[in-house]
Amino acid sequence: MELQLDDDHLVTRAKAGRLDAFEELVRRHRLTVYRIALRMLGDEGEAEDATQEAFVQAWRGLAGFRSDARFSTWIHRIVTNRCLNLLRSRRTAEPLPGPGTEIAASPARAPERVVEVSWQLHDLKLAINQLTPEQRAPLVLHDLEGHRYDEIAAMLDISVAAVKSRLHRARLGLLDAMRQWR
Amino acid sequence: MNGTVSRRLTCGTDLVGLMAQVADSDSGDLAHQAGCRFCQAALLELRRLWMLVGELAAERVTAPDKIDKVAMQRIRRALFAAKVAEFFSGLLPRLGWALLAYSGLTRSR
Repeated sequence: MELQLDDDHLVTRAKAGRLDAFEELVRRHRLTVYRIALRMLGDEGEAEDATQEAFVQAWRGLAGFRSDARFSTWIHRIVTNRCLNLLRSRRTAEPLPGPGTEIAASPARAPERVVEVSWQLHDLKLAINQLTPEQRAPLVLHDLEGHRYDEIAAMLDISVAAVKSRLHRARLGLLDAMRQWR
Repeated sequence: MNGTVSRRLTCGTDLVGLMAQVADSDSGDLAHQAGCRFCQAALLELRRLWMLVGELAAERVTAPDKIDKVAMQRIRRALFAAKVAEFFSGLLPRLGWALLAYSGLTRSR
């Protein structure tokens, strides 16, 4: 049985030109990277594209990746910024898109608890899609993905205080939306 | 988002503080909250929202398999293109000199 290498070793090998090592990193991190993109963009197709682009960008920038950082934090930073750029360009072009097929396929309203939660989740996703990109990023990274404030600050190139402030506004935005669901 | 949520409850408590209490386990004024119907109502609402956020965080998401394949294909193609470019960038000057030598121009210098 082959020994499972940690991310640091894989990064070292990938930096030396070993494509198989980078491929393993892609396999390991594609789910979380895709999940961040999906929560940020609210669209499966766009999330898929953003994930692929993020990994290609990571490969290109691998030489500049500092070994004292975690690969996961770095790739999350790349995909988040890619999504932010996409959202900012989308903001001026057209109204926010629908929640995507995953959301559109939600069940019809019914009294059962499971269906109720499912609908509330559907509404929550819509509410997240209504947040500004600047508010959405900390919410996705902290409240959904569990990143620390300092990690998010480094990812978004802002202070920890700014991360907290944006996160508070995002949460209040969701509360506002929740009040309107009733 | 129209931002109609007021940050302050009628009792004067900051809603952001209550949210941090629910979401980040920050400390709160428990003695005040125990007797305040505004805080209790807000906490109930925030806990409901936070439960939903937790459900969303735990929701199973499946990433399409083709993500790795397409990303790796693009990287391989870019590597191949770089190698071809490198090959030709090394070859062309040599070819140029060979042509010059062949035409006798280098001998005349």
